[in-house]
This record gives sequence, structure tokens and C-alpha cells, in this order.
Amino acid sequence: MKLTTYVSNKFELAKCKELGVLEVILSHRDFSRFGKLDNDELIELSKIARELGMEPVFEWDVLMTQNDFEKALSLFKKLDLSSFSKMRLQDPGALNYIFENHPEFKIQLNLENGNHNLVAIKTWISHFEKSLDRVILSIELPKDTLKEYCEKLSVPIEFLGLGRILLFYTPRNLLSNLLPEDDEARKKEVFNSRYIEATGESEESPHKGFPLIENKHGTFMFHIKEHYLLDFISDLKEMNLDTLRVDLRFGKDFNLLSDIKDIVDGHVTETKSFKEKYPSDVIRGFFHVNKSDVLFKKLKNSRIIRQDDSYVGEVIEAMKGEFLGINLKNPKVKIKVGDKLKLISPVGKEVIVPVVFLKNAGLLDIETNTNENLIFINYVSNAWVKTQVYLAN
Amino acid sequence: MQKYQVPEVLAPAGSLDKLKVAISYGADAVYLGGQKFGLRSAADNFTHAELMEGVEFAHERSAKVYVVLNSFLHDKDISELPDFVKFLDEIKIDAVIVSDLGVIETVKNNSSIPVHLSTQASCLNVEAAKLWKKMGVERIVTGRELSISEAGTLRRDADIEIEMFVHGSMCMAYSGNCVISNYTQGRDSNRGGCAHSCRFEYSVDFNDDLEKRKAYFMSSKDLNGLRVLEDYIKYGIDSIKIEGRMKSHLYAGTMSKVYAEALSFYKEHGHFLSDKLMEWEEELKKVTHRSYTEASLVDKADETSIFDERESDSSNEYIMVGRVLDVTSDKNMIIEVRNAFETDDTLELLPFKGNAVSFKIDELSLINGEKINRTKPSTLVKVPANFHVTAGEILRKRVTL
Repeated sequence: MKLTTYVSNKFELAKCKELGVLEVILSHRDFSRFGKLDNDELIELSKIARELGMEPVFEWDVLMTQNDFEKALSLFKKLDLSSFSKMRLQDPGALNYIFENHPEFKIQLNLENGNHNLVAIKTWISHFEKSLDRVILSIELPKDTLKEYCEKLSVPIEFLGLGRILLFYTPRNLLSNLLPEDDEARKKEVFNSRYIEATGESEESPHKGFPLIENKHGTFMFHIKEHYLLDFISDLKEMNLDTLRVDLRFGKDFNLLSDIKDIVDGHVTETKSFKEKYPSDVIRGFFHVNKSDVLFKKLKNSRIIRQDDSYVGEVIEAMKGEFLGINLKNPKVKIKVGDKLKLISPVGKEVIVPVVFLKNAGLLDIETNTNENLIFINYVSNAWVKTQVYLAN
Repeated sequence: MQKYQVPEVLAPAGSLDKLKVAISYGADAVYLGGQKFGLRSAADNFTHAELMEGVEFAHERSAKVYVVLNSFLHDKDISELPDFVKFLDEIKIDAVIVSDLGVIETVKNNSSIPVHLSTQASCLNVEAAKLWKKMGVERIVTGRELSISEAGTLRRDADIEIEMFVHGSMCMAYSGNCVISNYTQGRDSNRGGCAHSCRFEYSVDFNDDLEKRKAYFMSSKDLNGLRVLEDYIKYGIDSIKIEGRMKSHLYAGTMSKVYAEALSFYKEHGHFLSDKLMEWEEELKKVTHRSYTEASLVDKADETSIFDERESDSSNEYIMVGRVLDVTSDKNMIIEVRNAFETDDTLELLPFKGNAVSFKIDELSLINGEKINRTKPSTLVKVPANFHVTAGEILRKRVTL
């Protein structure tokens, strides 16, 4: 299992080389969400990496509206990308552009946003297979699914092993607005650097200290804990995962990569001490199981959902001792005196009631409903507003 | 008289009732969800029978029905999808709205239903539109970060239909790029479980010497594109979309009516230069909304697009007090009461066409004829009507001055 990581300077590059991490991701400030490299730095690092026998990968993961995309393309065309042979792409626009215009680049296709089913992933692969180097899959996929995909997909897979979990990405600047009006120096600094860090917490959430970043690409919020799969290296190897990504940006000591490499290579099997010295709290996320749809059933009352063809409508008025008003919602069902109706209340109570009388909105007796929206039948207890009415004959 | 081309008005239909409301008030098309595969798990949504009835109701009135299948599905969800897609094909819906490539493939393999790409896929540029077109998409619902002129460029250069939001609540994040609920509430926001964490108040700590700043800094104002409607026409946008499947009947009716009337005016006159524009704007203020913004419709959304306030209905000018369920032969409205009103109150009837009718409640009775002075929610009452009224029309009451 290979490792890949982000580097932003020569020291980090040398460290990677020393450890045998031979693929490095280079993030340009105009193309990468958290990129800091300018043109010269990017090109210099890419050339050094190539000279060292390493594989530099150009990252383009900023989502861009048409006008921004056009500006980015004009810059892209000026960049000396001769030391790159691989691109990491997320936006379908960037993907299409590179695929159609630059067949010389192999594509690392970032499918981390959604793409939680085999059909989707296979379709992406089938369209771009001739240029694909690998796919990067979502950390919302649990390990059993990841294992299955490693077996069934025709291209190598990359997965995040350690790093921040991005929760929220907007192009709008949300933090600079909160800086004090009178702090001109801070505002000037922010304007020049276009980079603000903060943490956020809400009384409406038990989670405290969400890391926040605002930069030229917008505002980002991360999970309070980082994604950490170093306890499951043997599982990942067993499923033949091709590449594990380690993200030591956002102020981490890059020397931690040595410990990580030892764990991944199996030289160190005890990970507790590493976890203790790692500067952030960590979680395994959805790696064991993803049950993020189980609560949906509780979001609404299934008893008030219309069930079948014998549906009549909904009780809209219950006048004790006098009548039930029923809003007819299925014009195909006709009711007459003597029919039996099944009533299911919002709390699930069922009652069968014979229709003793049937009246229209003017409270005139009718034989059956024709064009009525509203009918009235004899009152029955245990039925109230929102009770669902079915023909029970 | 010359007729001008205008976009379709596409309204939300959170339930069969709301579908009927939206179409009756002028929507050319509605979008709705079945019991699964959409992004509004808490909405009523449509059963199979309701879908059939909804499609029949819409098609009889020359309106279209688009069904949202815009969740990011997992394998077990995908396995249940073909049967539903075949059913949708049989009942002849007009399109599905999809964000997941697996869903697009499944729809293509099991039906001949046209595919529209959901805003959830955040399609933002011509190259992306070209790619989705290759994947079989016939219409793009653009990301809300796109300006109208940029959307026009997508339409022209990718040669594909464009649908754009014109009104309603907005995600602050790029749609489909927010998983706060997934990790903090255990609810997949991209499968219908969004907990609206962006609407919370947060304390933001800049690690400086100052106190934490309390702010609703991730909450967006609501989109209102009425003032730039002419741009949608100028740039050839095919469909203007109103957000809000979870919203009220009053919202569905008012929005459909205002935008349909505005476009109808343009169709006839070729411009919006009319006193009616002020009236339409006033109408839009009469439903529950956060402060309005044009967001990125013209220029990129800036800090003025942030809704730094607690969610509240207290500023509503109007509330819906009921809906006319039936009109008796002796000219009494049978009203389903949603919010209480009483004798001497002045109500407004929002007719399917034309101006609102204001009237005073002189007489109020229960269905059995018993006279009352005040109504209760979730009851039926009778009110005489000395004006034209049609079953289904909405009644509202002004609650603030």
C-alpha cells in the first residue's frame, strides 16, 4: 500500500524522499482549496521532485463558476507543467477540460463528494478509463463496501488515512465580516494574506471547536476530530487498497510522517503512543459502519402517509356526537351509506366504522360522492384531525 | 400583438395538495419527491397513488411534473431504484432531477425519462455542463453560485437547457458539499437528513484577545430574483425554479402566482415596466421569509447575503388562515381553518387569477350552523361569500402593520 501526501516546501519534499513516499501532491494557490504555492514555487518543487525520482501531482480541486474557470484556464495555460504527469481533479469541468485537451496527463479522479454506489463509480471509470490513474473514494464508505470496491473496480483506489474531515465549503467569505470594525491592522493583514483561521461552536450542537478557515476560495469548516485509520492498516492492506493519503497540513509537524510510515510499513504495530502525540483528536468516522439514514423513519409520522388504492382521504373535522368531516383525496373511491371505513389515527389507533349517513358540504344528504371535495359521515370516537380514512369493504 | 418567450415557472410541491395549489396559481411545472431517493425526508412527499393523481392533475392542465431523485445513493438504495423508475416511466412524468451518476445510469437503463441534473451536483461551468450532457443529462439546474449571465454562457456554449433558482432558501455551502449533519447528527444531509446546522448561532473564536463573536455566520438570506427577472429572459434561461418543498400552501400559491403573473406580463408586453412590479414585490413579502438577497445572480454574493439573525416568523406580514375546501350552493365558503380568526377580522382571498380580494368577516358559523365569534385551527367553518371564489383558494390575514 502506497502513501501519498501534500508537500509545500523543500524540507517536506526531502522528508518524503527520505522515507520513500514517492508521490507528492502540490497545491497551487489558485487551483487548490488550501493551496499556498505560487507559480514559481510550484514549478520549482515539481522539478525538484522529478529530479529526485518522485511523482509530483498537480491538484485542482477548487470549484469554479464559469468566469473563474476562464481566468483559471488562462493561468493554467501559462504554467510550466512539464514536470507533472498526473492531475488530481474534482470538479467535472476541470475533469472534462483535462481529459479532452491534455491526454498527456493521467487523472487521479476525486470522487470523495458523494459517489457512494458502485454504479456511479463504475460509470465514472468507464468514461475516463483511458486517462485514469486512480479514483479517490469517499470516507463515508464503510470498510466492507471499500473492500468490495477494491475487488470490483478496475482502477486503483485511494482513501484518506489521516487528516481533517471537511464538513462545509462555500465560496462566500463568512469570517472576515466578523472581525472588529476598528481593527484596521487586522483587516489589512487579512486583506493581504486572504487567510483567516478561527474555531466555532454552537449551543445547538454538542461538538465544540470546529476549525474554520477563510481564504481566497471561500470559507471551510472541518470536523473537530480528524479521520484516523492507522489502527486498521492490516484491514486496508488485506483489501488491497492501493494508496493511503495522509494530510499533515494545517500546522502539523511534518516529521510525524516518519511515525506514520513506520506504522504503514508494519515496523510499528502499537499505535497508541502515536495517537497520544498526534496534536488533534481523531475518529474512525464511518469506517466500521455508516448508519446515517436510519433516523429518517423518525422524521415523519408514517401513520399519516397514504397507503393504497382504497384510500379515501383525511379527517378534517371531528364534531363530537355529530359528524366527521372528511377531505376527499382520492376521487376514484366512491362511498355510500352502508360502506365500512377503516380509520387510522395519527397515533396508530385503527377503528372500523359503518357509514350511517353521508352528507355534502351543505350538509345535504347524498347517495355517494361525485364531485365533492368534502363529505360528512356519522361521528365516531378515536378519530380526529389527520386521521387517515380507507374503504374497508 | 407580439408575444415574447419566457421561462417556465417551476414550483415546489411538497405534497399532493401543494401540487394542486402551485398549478392552480399558475406554475408551469412542479417538482416533487416520492417516499424515497429525494433530499427532503421530512416532507410529506408522494405515495405511488398520489404521484399518479398528481401527474394526471398536472397534465390535464398542461403542467409538467419533475420527480426528484437527487440523493447521493448508497448501493442498497440503488438496488431499490429500478422498480420506482419503471413506475415513473409508466405514469409518464416529464423528467427526473438527479445528482448521482449512478442514478443517471439507472434511470437511463430502465426508462426513457429525460434527466435533469440537480443543483446538488453543483454544475458551475461550461466544461462541466458538457460533461454532464455526455452522461445523458438534458437540463442543468445550475449551482446557486452562478450568475445569470454565466448560466447563459453555459446554455449557449454547452447547448443544454438551463434551470436556475429564482426564489427561496439557499444553502450557504456549495450544494452537495456539506456533510455537517452526517458527522454531527448521524443524518446524511445528502440523503435527505439535513439538520440545518448552518442556521445555528455560533461563537467564533479568532484566538485573539477579544471575546468570541456570536453570529449566525453560516446562514444565508433568501434568494429573490424578481428584480432581475429580465436577465433570466435575456440570457435564455429555460426554467426559473422556486425553492421550498417543505414550505406552506401560502408560499407555494403566492410564489407561483407572482412569478407566473410577472412572466405573463412580460410575455404580453416585452418588459416589466409596470406598477405591477411593486405589487408583485409586496406579495413576495407577505409570506414567511428571511431577508431577501439577489445572492450571486448578478455579482458574487458578499457579506450582505449573510442572514445574521435567529430564525423567526414574527416578522411575517401575513399568515394563512385557511383554505376554501368547498363552496356551497347558497354561496358559503367552507373553510379549513389553519390559524384562528374572528368576526370583524379583515381577511384576503388570494384568487387563482387577479388581485387579492379583501373582505370583513361579518358572520361566522360552524358546519352545523352554530354561530361563533372565533375559529379554532383544524376545524371547518362557514363564511358567506359575496364575491367569486373557487375551491382550493387561500385565505390570509395581515398580522403586522
